[in-house]
Amino acid sequence: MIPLSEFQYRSLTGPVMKEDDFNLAVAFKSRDMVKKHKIKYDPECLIISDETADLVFEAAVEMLTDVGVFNKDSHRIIKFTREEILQIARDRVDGATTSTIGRNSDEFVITRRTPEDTGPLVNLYAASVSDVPDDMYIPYVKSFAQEETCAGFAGMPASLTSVHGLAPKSGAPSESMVALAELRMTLEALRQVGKPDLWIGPTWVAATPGAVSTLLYPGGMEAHNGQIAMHSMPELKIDWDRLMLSQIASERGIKQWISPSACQGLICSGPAETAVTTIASLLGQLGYGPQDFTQGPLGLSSAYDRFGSNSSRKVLWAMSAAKLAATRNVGSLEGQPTPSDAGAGTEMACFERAALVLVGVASGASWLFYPACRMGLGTAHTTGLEGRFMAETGQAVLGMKRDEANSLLQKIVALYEDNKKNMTVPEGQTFFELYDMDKLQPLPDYVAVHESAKEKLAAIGLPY
Amino acid sequence: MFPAATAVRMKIGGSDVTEAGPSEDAVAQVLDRLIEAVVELEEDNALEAVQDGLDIGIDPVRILQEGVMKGLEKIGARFEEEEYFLPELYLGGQVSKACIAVLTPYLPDPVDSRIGVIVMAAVKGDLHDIGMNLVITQWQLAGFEVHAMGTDVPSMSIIEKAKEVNADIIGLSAFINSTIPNFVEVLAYLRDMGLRDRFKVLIGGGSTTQAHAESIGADGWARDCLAAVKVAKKVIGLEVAGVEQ
Repeated sequence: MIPLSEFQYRSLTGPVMKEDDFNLAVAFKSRDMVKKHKIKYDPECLIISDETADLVFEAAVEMLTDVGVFNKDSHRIIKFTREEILQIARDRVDGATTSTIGRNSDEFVITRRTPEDTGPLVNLYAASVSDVPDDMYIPYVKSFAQEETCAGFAGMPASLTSVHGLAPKSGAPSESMVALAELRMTLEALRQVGKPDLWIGPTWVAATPGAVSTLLYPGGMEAHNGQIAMHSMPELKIDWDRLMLSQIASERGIKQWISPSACQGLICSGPAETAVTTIASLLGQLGYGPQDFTQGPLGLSSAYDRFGSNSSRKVLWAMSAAKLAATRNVGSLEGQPTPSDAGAGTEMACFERAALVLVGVASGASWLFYPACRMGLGTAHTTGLEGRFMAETGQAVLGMKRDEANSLLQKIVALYEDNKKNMTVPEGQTFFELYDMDKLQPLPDYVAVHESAKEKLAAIGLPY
Repeated sequence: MFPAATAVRMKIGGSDVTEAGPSEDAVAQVLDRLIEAVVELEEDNALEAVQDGLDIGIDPVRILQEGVMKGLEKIGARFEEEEYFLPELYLGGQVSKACIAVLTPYLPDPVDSRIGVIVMAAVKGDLHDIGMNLVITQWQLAGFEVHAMGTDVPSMSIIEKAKEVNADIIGLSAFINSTIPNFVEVLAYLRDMGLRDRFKVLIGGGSTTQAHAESIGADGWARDCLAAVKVAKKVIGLEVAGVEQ
């Protein structure tokens, strides 16, 4: 492994480069690697083979060896040798195959999976960036936490827009104030539903090391319930704050949120380039990230297109490629995000989520998360019922053979892709419109939409 | 200042060039070569076509508008069709800038030809600039004079720069939620300093939306770099078709 001090040293002594030139180097190297290794995107086969996954991994190793990681603050390249990169992967493969989240009766174990394993999936609820008024924050969090399959959250369950009239301003006290308010109200909601030790994960609103540090207190964010997000930047970039956050996490024994991702359609031209760049980013982050952490890392090799959508064929393929390359060659406990373009209370949201769940589970994901609607944006545009749907669908497709999963995925995508092409994605409704606010339960009409969607999915072969 | 055509005549020898100028066939041939070279990102070929155009006496404004800019439009179309990606947009911008550098001595005074002045920055705390740089390139190529301030820029510095260069537009970029409030800070400074009416303010980036722009009182928002050109033209009163919101 590469000590953090060595990372800083390389950040200060590596080759100087302009960021634009680094972006071009990443873009063209990813294309070269895809050509060299003959990695082909196939819209008719969205869950990839082991052979393709291994090609993606090899291409990523070669790419990272060549381009390195860019430090945005020092404007220098952190270089790796091929042997170092392979050792990073080997260490992870040989490392722990499980990761425990939560504590006492709220403890869950995330376990390394292969695509056709019938092993357990862990479901993390909520849509962290969806904001909610402060007087509704606790009921909103309770509506997720009360779900039987909710093993915790992939980050603070919702966002507050302000505290004391102050928005969360980066680097100012309100960044910390809002994050603390979210943490305290989340903990109170968990106490009220009888799950006080449930996993929360990272804060999203606090991104600076100073603000994150204010959350790390006894009874607040601790090793059993909290995580520090590196907020790692896409396409092989870091800065001093990322390294500082990694240092804080290591010292406190707190899990680090590793989230390599790449955006299809900008620097990365196509799905294959996106997958290769994602895995190169994963390897780069593992180099400095969770090196002192023995129970992880949780991983999130993810992709999205230039409009933020996850559910197109190209992005589904890229996710499958990255996830399988990671689980086979890096041994990370991969998470699968499941956000829909469509709004809550629509069948399309269910169809998109089913596709995302299926591609993740059939590519070796160990945990499902982020059952958000409208890509998680806006006020209260996701609900506990969407999380329940994610969990039920994951359970239903566990153990499915890859050929069968591929065939089913084609049918599911066909249910919604015309809406995306024709820009007729339904906006849906908010939590406040879809739930009985006294009982904190989904209204009958909302449940009926989900039941109808499940019937249609069952009719094409999804075995609920 | 003198008319561009006169500049061309002077540049290539004045009296050697007839008043009638080159034939339309010759013009079309050169411009087609230039367009193709820009679209294919071939800088040497593009520069050669530009020089050939000047040598045969094509109006440099026409070379710019019907050659270089036309090529860029086609690059934009290919980006929309997902045939081209960010690197091609960037390289297309580089090729075009090289062509414009050759043409500039023969063009009317740039102060008069520019269509507006923009100060662009990623607000304090925000280090994301991939999309922002793309927007800057497209604005420049559309004829705006853009003062790019980079990332993590304090609100007051942005305003001081806008005053200094007498900007028409302040462009603000933010990617992460906790830096978006700095849009509001810039707008509040402008209001409290009595400058709100002096500058149009456009926002963009990551999780921003048109609704967001409206809620904070910004003058516009764009989902991507091509839409940003249309929105910028619109807010300064230039007629444009199909502004996407």
